[in-house]
Amino acid sequence: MHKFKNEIIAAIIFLPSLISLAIGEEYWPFTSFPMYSKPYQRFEWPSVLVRDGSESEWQPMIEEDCYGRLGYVRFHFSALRFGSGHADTSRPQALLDLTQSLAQEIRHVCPDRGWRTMKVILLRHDVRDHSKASPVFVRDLTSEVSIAP
Amino acid sequence: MRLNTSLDTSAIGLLRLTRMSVYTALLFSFFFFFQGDFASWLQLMPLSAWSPVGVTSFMHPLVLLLKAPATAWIGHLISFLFLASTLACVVGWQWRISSLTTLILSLVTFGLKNSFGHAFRSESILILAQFILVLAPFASGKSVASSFLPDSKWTLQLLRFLWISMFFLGALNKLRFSGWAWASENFLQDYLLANQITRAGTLADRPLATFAQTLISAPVVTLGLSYFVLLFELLYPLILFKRLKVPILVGTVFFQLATFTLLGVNFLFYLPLLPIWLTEKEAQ
Repeated sequence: MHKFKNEIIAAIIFLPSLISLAIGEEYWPFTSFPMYSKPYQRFEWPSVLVRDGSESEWQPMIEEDCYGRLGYVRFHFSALRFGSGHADTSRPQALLDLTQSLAQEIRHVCPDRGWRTMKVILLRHDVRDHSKASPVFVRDLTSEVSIAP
Repeated sequence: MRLNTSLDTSAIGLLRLTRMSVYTALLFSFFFFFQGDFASWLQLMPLSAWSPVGVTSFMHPLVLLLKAPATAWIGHLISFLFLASTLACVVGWQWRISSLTTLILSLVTFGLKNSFGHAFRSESILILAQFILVLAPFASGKSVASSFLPDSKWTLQLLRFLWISMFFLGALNKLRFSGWAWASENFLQDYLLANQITRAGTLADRPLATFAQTLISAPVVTLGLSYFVLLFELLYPLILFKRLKVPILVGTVFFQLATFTLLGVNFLFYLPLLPIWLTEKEAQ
């Protein structure tokens, strides 16, 4: 009875990964391996800027801890997705909503920094051009959002 | 009375150890990602940012239910049930029901987390391991369903295949999407540069960034590392040879630590599965 049960179970468990490999699409949680499989050439990346008051300089928010439960990488993935140039008009609003959630989390996690406002911008960098160490500003992705309570 | 402190290295003993380690890591990851409170994390996430991935595609009604003020308590119930069932899994109490509950709630909680921001790689091995562990022969029972389940040895082998597949399929994907150019064109140098820039907005003067810059400015080093990474993943099945097991495992720990520190990708949730590689005692 059930002569091939072990093989059947193995096939059920590993088949989604093999199908995913064949079609080249990720399907959570069965595939996690396509990461870093494709080349970077020129890439765009959202950056969170904060400032102490309306007259002060914008500075990048480097502290990853201040992203709290939203997570640094996760927030940037979302910001890139919602900030990229699609026709869907709900996407800028989604990014603004998410940025307001981040402002709420910053108030909770990093209240001592004294930041008053924040915004998300889009940067561009050509990784094959090694003469440029800094990315180029492309555009604002959100308007200014208040951090202060 | 003598206390037996020796490690049970039979197949079922190693499975028990793996079970405790995996579900403890799952508890840790729940606190790491949600600070132990799935409901309030969910309230933080705007509904407009919901974007389902993989198996979560059909969960939209659940998200609406969890975000509605009148039914937000269900989120707290999910948190409580997840913590209770995962704790039950750690100790092996009511195995079938607790492991199934944890698997389903893991798909819900971590699935929704990923659907509010596509970065879904770090804990997926803990979810995949559950698909195998849920079949493990921890519970007694003589039902037809129980007789179909794999034995301890085969369950342990499945977990080993899962571990190997994470690396081996990683290499196959690199070859599928980029071919050998992945190594020969020094993609690793670009990944390092891109990651260091995006972390700080510029090549800032931080200890790890400084080390990464040293690597970036030496293309021959990153080229060598690129070939090493691709070959390491491609030849990962060699871990099944007894003599190569320990060196490859030590290499794996360094590999994951380097990925975490230099590329910012957290694959350290693989490590709770390490007990599967302990040498198994032959049955008498």
